[in-house]
Amino acid sequence: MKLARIILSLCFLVVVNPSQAQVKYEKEYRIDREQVPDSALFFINELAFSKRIKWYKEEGLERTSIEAKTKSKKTKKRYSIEFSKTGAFEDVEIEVDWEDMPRSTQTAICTYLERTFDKFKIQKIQVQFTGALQPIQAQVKARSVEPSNTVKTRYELITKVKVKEEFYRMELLFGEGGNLLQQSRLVSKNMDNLEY
Amino acid sequence: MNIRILLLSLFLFVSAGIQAQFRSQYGLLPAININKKVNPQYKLNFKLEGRQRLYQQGEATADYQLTDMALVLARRVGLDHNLAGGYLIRFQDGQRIHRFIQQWSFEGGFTNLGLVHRFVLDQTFTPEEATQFRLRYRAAIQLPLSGQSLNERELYLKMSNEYLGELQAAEYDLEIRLVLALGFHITDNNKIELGLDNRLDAFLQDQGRLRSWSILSWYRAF
Repeated sequence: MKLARIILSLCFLVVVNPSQAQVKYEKEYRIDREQVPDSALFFINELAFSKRIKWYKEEGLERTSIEAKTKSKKTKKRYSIEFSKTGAFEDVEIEVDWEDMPRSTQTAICTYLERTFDKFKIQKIQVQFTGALQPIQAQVKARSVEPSNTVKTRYELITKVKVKEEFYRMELLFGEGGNLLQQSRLVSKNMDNLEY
Repeated sequence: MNIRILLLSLFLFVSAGIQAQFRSQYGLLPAININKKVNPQYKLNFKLEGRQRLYQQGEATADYQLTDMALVLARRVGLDHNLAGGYLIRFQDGQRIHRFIQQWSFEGGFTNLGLVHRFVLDQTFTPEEATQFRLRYRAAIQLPLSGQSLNERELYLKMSNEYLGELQAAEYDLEIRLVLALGFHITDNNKIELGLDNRLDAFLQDQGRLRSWSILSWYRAF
């Protein structure tokens, strides 16, 4: 029992230590509509956005994806729809406010952040919808950001954190109930040219 | 992208247009800016800057004005905030001018764009002159020219606007600076910027003086 506790504690330390977290490198650049696979264009057309769609290619260390970014005229929220490089739908991310998350999720995430980091500041929250195409299309067409039974809902937080006198930028992925699923350390941007 | 190029063109056009309204000067302002992270809390900034005047009141001139060397130690005091203090020595007209600098800077609220606010207090000691005190505020932003975040080997646009309140021997003045530069983000620790730095002062009680400097700055971090 004692040994199990020690192992669990060590695992917890490894999981919450940002310096040990996987570092996420991404390069994103604009592409023309002509470079986008037809299946991705078709999917986006179905969502009936009235604002202009901007297309991006995102290159990570292990994978490349295509992203459509736009803003809802109705809710003013920013949408990012991600596809594989062949145009297969992957997920929808919508920039939301803290209040847009269910109260129980807010509490669970807040508890995690307070327990794990000495200081933290949430810079951006995105609700992420994955799963079957039709329910997701229906959810997006309704411009809803609330969790539903038919789509898998997750929350992605970009945060600045302080742990043991070290500062990091982290991307944290939480489940619908506010349980941590994944964390990666983002490369901090050098702002020296704006300071001096 | 087109809007950003339009902004740059408009800025250069307006800068040329307002030259005629004030006592004007034009020159070069090359700078090297070296940053060294000492530990997670502290970093050092060293800046070497020269100033060469090429034009004054309609006449070409070749007047090397000054060299500045500054060393600033900054401490991170929060997730977004830095406090710094430093010293600058200026070599001008055979004189040595000393300046002490106290600085507070913090990042603004945009995730992808860089926005930094900076407040500076400085005291300048020039031989046979009264001490000059300045209070400065600057907002500086950089916009990537491709995509929503800045990546290696990409261009960006940098804009900054600074207000400098000056007090010397019971006389006050206000200087306004507007900088627009095109930057090349070679890596996150290696950047080059080329642009125009417009400085307007002495307009509260006088005709005003507009100094425009072509800037070429190199930022290197270790």
